Amino acid sequence: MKWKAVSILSLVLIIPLVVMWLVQGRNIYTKDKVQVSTKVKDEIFGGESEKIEWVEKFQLGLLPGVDEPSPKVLLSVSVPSGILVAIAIFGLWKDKRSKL
Amino acid sequence: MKLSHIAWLTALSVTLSSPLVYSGTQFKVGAQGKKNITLTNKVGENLIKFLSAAPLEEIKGTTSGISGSFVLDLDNLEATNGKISIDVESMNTGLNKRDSHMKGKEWLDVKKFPEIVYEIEGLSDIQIIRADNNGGEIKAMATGNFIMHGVTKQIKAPITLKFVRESDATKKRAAGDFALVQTSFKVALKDFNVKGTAGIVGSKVGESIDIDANFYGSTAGQ
Repeated sequence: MKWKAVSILSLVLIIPLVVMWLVQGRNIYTKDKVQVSTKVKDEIFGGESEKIEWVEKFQLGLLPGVDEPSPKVLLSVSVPSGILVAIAIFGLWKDKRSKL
Repeated sequence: MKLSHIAWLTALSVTLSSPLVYSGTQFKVGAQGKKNITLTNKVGENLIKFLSAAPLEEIKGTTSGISGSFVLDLDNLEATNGKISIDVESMNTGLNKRDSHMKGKEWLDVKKFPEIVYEIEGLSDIQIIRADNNGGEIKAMATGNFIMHGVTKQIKAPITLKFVRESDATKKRAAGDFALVQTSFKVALKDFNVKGTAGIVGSKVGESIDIDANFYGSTAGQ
């Protein structure tokens, strides 16, 4: 019963990750910067002049935003979800074994 | 030979021997001659935005490392020419991992090709939108060599050029006459032998990249 609860909890924990991914723009890769455009009326040339800055803002992606092995690989949907699915499968297997 | 024949022959020979004078499009903005415009952020933010739209991902990026100059010939707009360079290292897509891939050997190969260059060779299809003693605006088609990843290809780009003569208002930003060039065009990656990682072009990276640029310059230099 204990292992079954662990499995269910693991699968439930994936849901907020997916919701966060959907809300933050369904990015393929996790991003740590976002483009901010500022448009100002241009008195000399007419129309608007645009300035773009990159500001620090975390956006969860399906895949990690880094290549090299580091704790940052956990900042994604796929890696923690994969770990949680593995825990869930292990829990179900343990639960089945304990019933035998 | 009759006198009238001699007169006709003389007139003909004078006509043929005189040099052919081509008169280009004049930009009547209260000034004449060639204006050497150097790009500078003092006049406005020099900015290139690029967009890769692919089925799996849309990548928006910018580059700020823009330099160059061009000669605006007010008496012959067709003869306008110049060179604009982009520092590939300054290209940014908001994701360090992707930026390092983009600048890597399989993509733009920044170590080997640190710059993207557009050499403007001339203007055509010129339409004067406005021209007075304060300045003016034209629309035209710029023709030039686009050099990227070691490949040179002629590209035509529609431009809007605004020219503003020096005034008390412009002096608050910088010295000299001002120019703003705005353009939008597409660059096909395969034309420049940018193959990328296998299977990525067409799925996560678009086959062509949309370029949108604003170039600000002044006759007073940087």
